[in-house]
Amino acid sequence: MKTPDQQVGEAIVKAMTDAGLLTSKGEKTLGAALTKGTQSASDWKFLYPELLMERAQKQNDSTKTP
Amino acid sequence: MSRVKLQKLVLETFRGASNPVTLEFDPEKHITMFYGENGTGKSSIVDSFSFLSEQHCGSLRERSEADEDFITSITGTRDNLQVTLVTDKGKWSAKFKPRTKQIVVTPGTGIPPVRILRRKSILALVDTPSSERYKALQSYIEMPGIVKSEASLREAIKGAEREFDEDRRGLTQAQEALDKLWQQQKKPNASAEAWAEAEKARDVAKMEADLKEADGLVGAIEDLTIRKKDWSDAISEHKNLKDAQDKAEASLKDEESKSAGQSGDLVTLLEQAKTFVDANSPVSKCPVCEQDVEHERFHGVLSKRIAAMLNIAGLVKAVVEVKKKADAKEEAIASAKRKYATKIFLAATLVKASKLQCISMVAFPDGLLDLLSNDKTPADDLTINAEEWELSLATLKSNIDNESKNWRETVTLHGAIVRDLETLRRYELQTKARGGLCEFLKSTLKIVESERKAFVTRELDAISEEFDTLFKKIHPGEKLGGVKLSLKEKFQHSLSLAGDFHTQQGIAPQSLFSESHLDTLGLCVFLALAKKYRTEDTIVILDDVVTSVDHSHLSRFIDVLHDEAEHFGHIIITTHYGPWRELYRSGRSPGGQLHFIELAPWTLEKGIRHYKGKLSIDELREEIAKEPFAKQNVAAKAGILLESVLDFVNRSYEGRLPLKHTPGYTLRELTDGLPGKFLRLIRVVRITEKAAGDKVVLVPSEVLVEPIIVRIKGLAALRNQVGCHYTEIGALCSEAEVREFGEVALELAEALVCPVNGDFPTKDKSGAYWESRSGKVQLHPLRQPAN
Repeated sequence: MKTPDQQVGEAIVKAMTDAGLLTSKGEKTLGAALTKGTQSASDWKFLYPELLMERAQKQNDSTKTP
Repeated sequence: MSRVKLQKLVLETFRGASNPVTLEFDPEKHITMFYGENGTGKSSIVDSFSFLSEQHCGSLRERSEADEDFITSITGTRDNLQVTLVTDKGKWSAKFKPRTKQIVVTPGTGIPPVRILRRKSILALVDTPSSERYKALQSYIEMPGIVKSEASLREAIKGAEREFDEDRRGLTQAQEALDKLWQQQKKPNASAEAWAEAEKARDVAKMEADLKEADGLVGAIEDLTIRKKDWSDAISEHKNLKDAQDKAEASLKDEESKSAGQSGDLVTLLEQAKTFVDANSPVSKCPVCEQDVEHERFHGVLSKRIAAMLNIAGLVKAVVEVKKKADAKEEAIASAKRKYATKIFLAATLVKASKLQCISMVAFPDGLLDLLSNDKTPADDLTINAEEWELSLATLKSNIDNESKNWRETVTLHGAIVRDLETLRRYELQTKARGGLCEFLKSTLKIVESERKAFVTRELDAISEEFDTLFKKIHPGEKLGGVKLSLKEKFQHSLSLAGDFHTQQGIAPQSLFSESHLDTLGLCVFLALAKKYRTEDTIVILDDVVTSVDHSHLSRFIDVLHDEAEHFGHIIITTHYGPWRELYRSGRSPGGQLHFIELAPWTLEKGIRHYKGKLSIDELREEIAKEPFAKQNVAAKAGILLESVLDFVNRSYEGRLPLKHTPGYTLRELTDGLPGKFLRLIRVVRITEKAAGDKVVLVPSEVLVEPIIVRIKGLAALRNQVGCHYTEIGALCSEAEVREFGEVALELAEALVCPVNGDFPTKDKSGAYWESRSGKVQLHPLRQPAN
């Protein structure tokens, strides 16, 4: 049986992903950090530049000619 | 896997177990009741489960100022303390690690989880402030990892907002600075920024280069002026020293002329001779004439003569010193002249090479610049010719100063515009980035907060629905319920409890519910929680939780408990509440499902003592079978059993019993409670299973109640005459009469008590008759006919 931490951690990751607020890397690591309570203030902040970079990368990839 | 079956609990030197005690469970029954008055060891038994499963001292931990050392029996030692639980799934023992307070369970895994509800805990669930209620339920809904991460997210937002504010302030300051410059320039262009962008694009490199060149020229001219002054100063100082030297020499000559036989040369010679004598002591010959001399005398003569010319010696010294300074100054003049010449050359070279317009506006003597900028020109020529140049240089410097003033203003303004504009753009970028970060973090917080609350709300809703269902089973038809747990708005660790009471909705139950209702509500909350978070082996312990519940509510609570028992590994009830015990003993509740253990008063010598509790029907059956036959015992037990059974029958059919000041009814009153006409309609249908080949068939058998009641009426007097009081009539009653009284009581009880669960037929779900929980005993009909 999953602990409340695990259940809520998974729900948060899903909601953030659905809202486009999480990178694919964040999807893999955030859940565990939330569950363990190791997600620090800096970790939260770093998610944003990572997200911007991933968005830029995706945009860049989509404009490349095949 | 099937749920756990408890087999044995052994307490050694544990709390009240001053002697080792083994409590054996009936493995086929999943509910055990320990009944005992206060001080019989109930808490010791409950605490032993805490010790084993939760590794703490149970109720001792919860009592203020209780000494946990008394977890050890007062007659034993900590090293000998041990609690052992044996089940069909394993055996676990718990004891203290030697010389520590750490409880060690062996093996370390697999022990059935335990949920204990104590009376005190009921209050914590219901009648307590919201924050305390949250604490009581915290272990079910807490998520420390998420809460910690949420706190760090809030911290991140705070930091990002602070940085964002700082950037906005910087942006405002940059805008104000640029605006100020714009206003100073009389607001050219449409806006300060448009003006600044245009200004930034302007090429001022040529102007900067000219300014740099002009500054170089001005610097060279100023250096030249300084060096010239240094040179002039040196010449002037040298002249002063020469004058002083002349004066000192004149004073010396004047003194010599006044003193015959004395001179500066002589005193210098004598001083040198004395220095020689001192250095070559002892001297035996004169170093000049080589005549023999006596050292002391010779030295004395020299000293005496020098002393006689002391005045002249001072003047000689003054002449020597001032001459030395004058000579040194001559060297300084030469050095200053060289430096001055270098600066002349440098300045002339710069002037000659310069393309500045202001240079061409100054007229220099013909060929002078060529001469001065020629590195072969001797320093004397440079300095001499520079004299001619000075006036031109002063004019040149003035021209340069005038022209470079405009350049400087323009270049400085351009620099300020570029700096302020770049600062503005930097802050714009930072503000945008930090604003985006703040938005991101806030959106994230909304998600984290809403998911956390949604989880807790879902859990609380599920728990609330469950305990409200249970509560309504205990209080059917009462206009209360809808009780719900919810997170308090704006408080992270606060749980409110609200329910409906007649016309009032959403009120705190503590406001209008009776104490008994609050008790059952607390029990339902606990059972709902235990059920939601159970495993198939969870042991639920209700430790003396019921003290003031009335008969009907208690019956329904027991029904709920038996309905819910299938969800748990085992339910253990400890109670000192007599009515609860009697409901089981008398068959009013399903005693057949229950393992009943009675506890005897505790003594230091014997510790916790227990014996098997018996149902009333079993007690009567055993009493009738005993030899010798004890009339009084049989009559008393039969009477008590009949009173209980007939009370049940009267309640089932709303029998007409007299209103009385004293509680309880006689057998006569109870047998007369239902009209004879209706009694003849009452029948019990008992369904038994019989094997028929490969199949099991249900075989009904019918028992009419009326003939039994008639027989009871005939023997009812024995209840008091033999069972209660000493009377001569009682002594006259025969053993056969009493035996018949006992047997007819048994006949009625055995007809009505379910062979499966030991309960009476109290369920009306068929709509046509009453039936026991298993459905194997039916009591027909359901109601008395209206007429």
